[in-house]
Amino acid sequence: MVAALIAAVPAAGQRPTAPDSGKKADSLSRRGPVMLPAVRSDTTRIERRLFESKPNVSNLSISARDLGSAPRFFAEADVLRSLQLMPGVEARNDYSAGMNVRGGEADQNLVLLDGYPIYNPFHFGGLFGTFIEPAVSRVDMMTGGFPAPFGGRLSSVLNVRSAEDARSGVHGTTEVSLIASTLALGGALGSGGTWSLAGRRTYADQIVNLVHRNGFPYHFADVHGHVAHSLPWGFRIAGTIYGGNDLLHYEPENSGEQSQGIMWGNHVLGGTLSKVFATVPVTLGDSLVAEQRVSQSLFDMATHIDDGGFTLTSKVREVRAAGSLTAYSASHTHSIGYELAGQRLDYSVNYPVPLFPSDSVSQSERSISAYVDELWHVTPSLLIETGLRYDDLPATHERAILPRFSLKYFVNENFALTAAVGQYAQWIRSLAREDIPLRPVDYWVGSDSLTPMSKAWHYIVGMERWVTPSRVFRVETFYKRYSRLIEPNPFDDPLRTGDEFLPVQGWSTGADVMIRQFESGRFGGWLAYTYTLNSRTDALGNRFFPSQDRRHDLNLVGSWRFPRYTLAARFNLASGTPYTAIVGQFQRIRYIPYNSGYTSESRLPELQFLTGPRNGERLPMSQRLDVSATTNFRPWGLAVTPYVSVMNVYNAHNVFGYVFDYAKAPPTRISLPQFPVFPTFGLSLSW
Amino acid sequence: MKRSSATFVVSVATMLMAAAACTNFENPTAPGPPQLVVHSILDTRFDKIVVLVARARTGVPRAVRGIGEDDPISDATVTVRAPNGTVMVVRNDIAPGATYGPGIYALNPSDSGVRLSDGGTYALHILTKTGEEVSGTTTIPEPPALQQLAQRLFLRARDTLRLSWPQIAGARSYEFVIGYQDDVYYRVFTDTNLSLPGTAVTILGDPVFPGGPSQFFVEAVDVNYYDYYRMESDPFAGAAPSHLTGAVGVFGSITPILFGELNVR
Repeated sequence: MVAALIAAVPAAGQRPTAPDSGKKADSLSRRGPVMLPAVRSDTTRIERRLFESKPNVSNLSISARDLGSAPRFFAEADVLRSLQLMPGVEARNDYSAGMNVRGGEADQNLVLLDGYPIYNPFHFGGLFGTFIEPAVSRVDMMTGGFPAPFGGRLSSVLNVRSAEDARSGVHGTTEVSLIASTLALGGALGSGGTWSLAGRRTYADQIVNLVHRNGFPYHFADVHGHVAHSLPWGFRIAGTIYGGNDLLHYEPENSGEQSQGIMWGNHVLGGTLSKVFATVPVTLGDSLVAEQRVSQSLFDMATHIDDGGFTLTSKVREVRAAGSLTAYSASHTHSIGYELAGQRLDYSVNYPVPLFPSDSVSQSERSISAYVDELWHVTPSLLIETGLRYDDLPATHERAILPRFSLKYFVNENFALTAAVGQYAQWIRSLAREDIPLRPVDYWVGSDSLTPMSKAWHYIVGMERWVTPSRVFRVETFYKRYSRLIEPNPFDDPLRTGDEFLPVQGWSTGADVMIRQFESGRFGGWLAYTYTLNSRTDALGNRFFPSQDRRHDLNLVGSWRFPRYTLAARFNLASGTPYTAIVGQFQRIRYIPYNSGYTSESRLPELQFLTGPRNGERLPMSQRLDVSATTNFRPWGLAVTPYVSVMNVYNAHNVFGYVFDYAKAPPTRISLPQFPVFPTFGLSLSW
Repeated sequence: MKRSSATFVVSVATMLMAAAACTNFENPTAPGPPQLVVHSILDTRFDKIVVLVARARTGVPRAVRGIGEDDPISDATVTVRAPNGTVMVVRNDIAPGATYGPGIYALNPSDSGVRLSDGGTYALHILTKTGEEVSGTTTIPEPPALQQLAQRLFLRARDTLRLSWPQIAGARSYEFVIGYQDDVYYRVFTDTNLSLPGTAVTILGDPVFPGGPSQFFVEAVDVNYYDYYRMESDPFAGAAPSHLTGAVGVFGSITPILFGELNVR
């Protein structure tokens, strides 16, 4: 079962098997049925196989089963929220499904759906991830030291793999939760193929509309499809389609009211053709896999506020072609590959408003990348993976040759020491400001002559010990050095080109620890602890702690399966992130040219804030306990699974920001809370 | 996992929760350090220099409410040095019945033989009784003759206001302001041209051209004025950029270059 969930082609380091031909399948099917005795089959976990076959430094994974049994976030099993419970991955607050990985900025993560990039994988301003849980088989994340096939981001790579259900007939899952309905269907597609299609829509708008028209004029919807099929002569084809939209639309009911609308969404379409060559020249090894993939990824955002008084649009148009050849032999896996990508990136705003970038930007980016990667089983106890990646931006005449190296030394069969070093480059970045605790969406822009590629070095040393076949303990320490980072200039002049960004450099260091019990009996779960220390230096040479500098982050996640019930809990304890305190305020006075007078009255707020040292204060620590209980029964061949889930069980008052009022003496500070206790319930049906 | 392991995990979680729950989430906020706020715009159309001096609200109880809600400072020594070297003392007349209120310093430069319309660089200096010192300079954009456009009928549903003007030496940008009498409907910074359809709305959705009489200006503005007013209030970025030393605010200058009147229908 686990093996069937892996990608359409074997991962590097895994030897491929030639697909069965259709003729062979036919000949087998013509024979009569044979009754076999019941057998117990234990498959080695994919995590264990990766432990044995690759350096696998900073690699994390979550399976569909893990996702399904974790406590839900607002009634939704959320892939991205679940990843935030892993070591090295941190979220700023409850309102953000975005991630800061090992101290990196939130735009430094490459998010892939079956290997195809997706630019803003969030709904509801970052509250929910875009991925539909029943449509996902597993999620792999590399939080550092990733090998040469991956590039374009400085901090992490997240690959969400679509579910493939090879059972004959149509199988499905439908879920009804407090906020959304989901339907996922799938099954075998002929012999050697699978298909799946999932859709989800929130319906809070429809329910509230019954009571009060336009009371909650917001919904989001997703569709996620995946098909894979083996073809003659060892070919295999796979395709993925994703479309998701958020729509906030208010139609005025009374004269004098104005229409408001915000729409944003991602659309991804990708296809992969691969072929396994079971017989190859001996110089290449035992077998060869060739893979070619093409994809298109689109992001659109259109904001239309106050009858068009404020408009903001952001667009990403990306096309990408990538290919690889991977040769396998007993002790070597050689890979070469390329990636050609073109992006059209547009951001425009008609009015310079706070919290949003004020410049309009329109860019065309092109990148040419190539890599070589070599996985070498030097001795039975030593694995080395080394590679070189070349990234070229023709428009800005920038080139980078980025070395990657990782190794694993087995002290014994269950205990290994690991290390990795590598350099990474990024040229597509977000205009969203890290200092703002809410990050509804990223506005992507590319490098140009004034904003060269950002680069980072990763240094990682760690150990991994398998205590039992289903329990693993891992510790990694890391140091990341960033050069030529950029941050949006909050005082950007819309009439001047070239001041949109300011240079930043710095470093992140820390360690993460994970003790994970894979579900083999009643209990499954993990303890993840991350310590990070970050420093950045701004354009003026001032050092500061970046807003994601969370020193301690502890997650305890567990699920207990009983014959008829499953209980799950998640506890998080995290130290506070830095923020810039407001130390005073004053009124900006406007000059009136009609009479040479001054006025403090204005249609727009003119309150100005005096700030203390950048990120000189810290929010208090936050904590949250979520629990859920699930039961299941099987009437009429259906698997019926009702659940209840309570988020923030003991209603901890977690703070994500402050509002200061210095007009009062003494001044007041009101804390902005994260989510209070929130119970939800729902029902899932599977067949 | 064995029962003992699960019990251990639950026990650790309970202890951590208990420890965390003891945290005091709110701390009293102390008053911030004092900060002077200055506003002064030199306008070549008027024979007047007005300097507003106040102290920002930093949580200290106020005695007087005056400029906006900031604390006016009426006992400072305020001087403006003209391009010809003349130093003008700008006074705050707080006598009962005075034209200006507390913290508002004013003078007519012509009394000292200075004409703002001649342009040049002016230097502001403020010294408070408590020893705080503020300084700043502004260079008035080179003043051309104000071009006055003929009054015209403007049909919102049909017309577009199109304006263009030459570059003015010393101007960092140009501000278009439309309103009537004291009421400003809309203001925007632009380059040397502007095209506004009659249906245009402000960021709040109000019409830029409401029905009735409207007057508009195009002003060449200096860098101080532009930087201070070009962005809206942003609590994460801090105060608008100021070119003053010792205070936040603005000492800037404008030169109106176009004036027109519309009868909007």
